[in-house]
Amino acid sequence: MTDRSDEELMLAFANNDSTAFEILYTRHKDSLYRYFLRHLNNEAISQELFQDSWMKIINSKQNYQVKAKFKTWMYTLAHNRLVDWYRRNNLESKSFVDNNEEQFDGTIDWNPEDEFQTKRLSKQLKLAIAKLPFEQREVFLLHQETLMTLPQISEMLQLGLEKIKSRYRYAINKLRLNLEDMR
Amino acid sequence: MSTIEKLYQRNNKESSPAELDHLILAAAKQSCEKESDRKKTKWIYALPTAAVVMLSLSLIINLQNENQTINTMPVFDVESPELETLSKTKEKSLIKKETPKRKREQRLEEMVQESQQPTPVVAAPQIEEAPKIEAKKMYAEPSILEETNPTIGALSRTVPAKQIENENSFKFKKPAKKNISYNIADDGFADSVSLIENDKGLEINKAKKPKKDSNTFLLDINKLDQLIEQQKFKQAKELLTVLKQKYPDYDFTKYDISI
Repeated sequence: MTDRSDEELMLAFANNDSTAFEILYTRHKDSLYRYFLRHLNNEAISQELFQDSWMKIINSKQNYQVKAKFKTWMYTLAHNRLVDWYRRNNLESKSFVDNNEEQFDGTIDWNPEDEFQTKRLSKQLKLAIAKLPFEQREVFLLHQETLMTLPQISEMLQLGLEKIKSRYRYAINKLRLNLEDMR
Repeated sequence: MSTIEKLYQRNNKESSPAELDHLILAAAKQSCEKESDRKKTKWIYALPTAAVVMLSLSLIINLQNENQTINTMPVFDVESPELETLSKTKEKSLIKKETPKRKREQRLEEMVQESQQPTPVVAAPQIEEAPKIEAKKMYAEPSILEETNPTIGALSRTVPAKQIENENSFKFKKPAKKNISYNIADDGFADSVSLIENDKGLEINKAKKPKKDSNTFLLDINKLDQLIEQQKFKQAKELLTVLKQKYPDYDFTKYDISI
């Protein structure tokens, strides 16, 4: 049962198999929740958008067609919902323009054995993510939470691969800088 | 994987609240049930609708077919020679359908054939005369007959009333063991008589008053027979001429010969 692909499960759910939905939900609920939480840094709003997204999935089960991966479709819905929320609340993020082309290997002074340091750094990282411009945050979170590759994200957002790569690079760079500043 | 990515994955364990999970799963379940209910309801409405449509269609088609048969069927007069010819020819299939008109025609044919054959004498146990009032209802008064046809009217006066009455109404002294019933058609021709039990015993119900045409025919033939029996050949000849004119399809040769 659990070996079934997301698409198969969604089709089964479209045929009124609620168990299929349960499996699908269990698979993706946490990553989607974190996607909203990292974006908004607010639990209440994240829960609201998270619920909205799943309700949208439930209500559009009859129209679901396997044109793309389920994950892509689900995160497209989530992305649209998020953009919509930003627009409604006049919080549209400004495009991040950074001409800092310096290469960054993503290394920081972090000892994984040190639990205390790890917790502190993680907290700082989350704050730094929240400070990222929307576009960069979006690419970073999609890559980290959905484990989608950059080409897949490029396809999903209908943007050029180079642009996505660049955004991701900027995001990592910014996070590092933020973490170093916080130390 | 860069250090940032590793760090991100290390402490990334937030999960959606359980309450929200229950809420969403319940909504999904409800949507599935709703959908299946809707499918069921579709059938509930679709089936009777289809049945009603089918029934009404079949009814309409039936009615149309019936109308067509009535319209296309040739109309036969009672005394028309076409009826006899048609019944004997291949076109018989055209009038096979059991319509009231066809029934009437068939009865007429049978009547004509029966009248040609000698009436079998059935021995009935102790027959009594029926009340005269009943008999009067059966036949037209001679005066009325005279008005319509002077010759037949005149002849009808010569036929004793009892003889006519005896033909149509009987009364048994002993009660019959079985009830026998036959239909009496609306067109006035009785297929048979029916025995009905009452306080006075069993008595044969009177046949419905036959129609004037058939009744007159039988009456005429009876009168002709009586005149021949009584050797009143002159009157018989006159009546025969009238009857020949009236019933051109009927074969009167045996009367010709006997007169």
